[in-house]
Amino acid sequence: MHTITPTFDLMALVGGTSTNDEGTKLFTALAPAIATGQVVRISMHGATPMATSFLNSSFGELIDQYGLSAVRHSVKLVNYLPSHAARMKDYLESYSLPLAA
Amino acid sequence: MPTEYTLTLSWALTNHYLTFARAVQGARHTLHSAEPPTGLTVDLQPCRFLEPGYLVTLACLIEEFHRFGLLIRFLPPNDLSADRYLRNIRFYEYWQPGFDRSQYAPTHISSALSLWQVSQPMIDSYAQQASQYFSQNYLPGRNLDSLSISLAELFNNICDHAHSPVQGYCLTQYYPKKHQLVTAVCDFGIGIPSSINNYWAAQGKDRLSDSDALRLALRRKVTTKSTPRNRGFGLDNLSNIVRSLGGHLFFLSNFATLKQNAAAEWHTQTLTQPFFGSLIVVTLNTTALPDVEAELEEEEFSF
Repeated sequence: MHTITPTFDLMALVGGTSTNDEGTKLFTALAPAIATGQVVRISMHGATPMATSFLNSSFGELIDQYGLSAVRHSVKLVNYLPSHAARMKDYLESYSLPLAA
Repeated sequence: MPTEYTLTLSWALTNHYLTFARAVQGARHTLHSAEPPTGLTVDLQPCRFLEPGYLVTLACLIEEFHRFGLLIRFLPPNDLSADRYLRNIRFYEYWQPGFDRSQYAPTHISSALSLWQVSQPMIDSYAQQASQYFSQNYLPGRNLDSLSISLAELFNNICDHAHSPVQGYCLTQYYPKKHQLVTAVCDFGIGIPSSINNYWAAQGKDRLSDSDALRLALRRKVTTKSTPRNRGFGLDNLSNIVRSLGGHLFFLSNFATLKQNAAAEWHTQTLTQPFFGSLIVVTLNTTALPDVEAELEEEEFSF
């Protein structure tokens, strides 16, 4: 049996990568797959730089609901820039740190 | 008997932000007094140079007077180049009837990107347009993600935390000879230290000095939870971006200033008079901008 890994085109899903509202769109698209442990690819082709609010409402929310290890297991990046990968990796790693205030 | 209020700017140089801020607060105090003035005259005659930080603060002040329905009058700089600059960025036009300050209004000079009244729906387009604009006009082949993200962090900060009676203003200016991209954002909200201290008080923690609160605000994972999804990464991210480029960061908010220098050292100052709001000036060193990256088409990245 073959498993087809779905690929989400980030910039087709969201209207931008700066705000909470756009991050929520990404969360909504990815959540069903991550909830079931499915691996998903995100095509970062043409992706604009990701602001913190966008990451909070997408990956931060996914981590809150399904845990960091589930997000790490399920999400793969394709057609990405090294800075995309570095930014998201830093975000995920920072997320596990405790709040300072 | 109410009269017109005149704000004279003769000190518009970087090291005089505090004097300027006091003058702005004086004007605001008059506006909210028992006998508010009948209008505002902005006397720019002595000015020879106006940095973005002054212009966004002035724009907030004018916006506040304008909201009270008061007439705004400018006395242009005697210095012709300063007057030309203000005309080129269309500063005198912004509060004229019909001018939409929340939309992107092209300037008449390529080195400045539209003075803009921050509005949430436009955050992404302004942030992305800024990097495209300066990349195309001045910095081809350079990766300007740092500018886009800085702007987005600043705008989200205003929209999420500031509770400003007037929407904040932003201006980005490129100085080719200095190799600097300077972005200034100002709001008249509660201020960063107050935001931190309000949250801390709700947690039963002791109040911090405004200087310490500003330092704390720049640390990773310090949040006031102004919105449920805030995680305390925004200002830390801004600080890191500026540090990575050897740039400068300046905060003026409530009773404190914080400067982050090119070596990423923080210097704070406690003020005797407050600035009710936040002025943030981000200076990016364009010689340190990385090159545009190539997309990795064949590889798959796992975390």
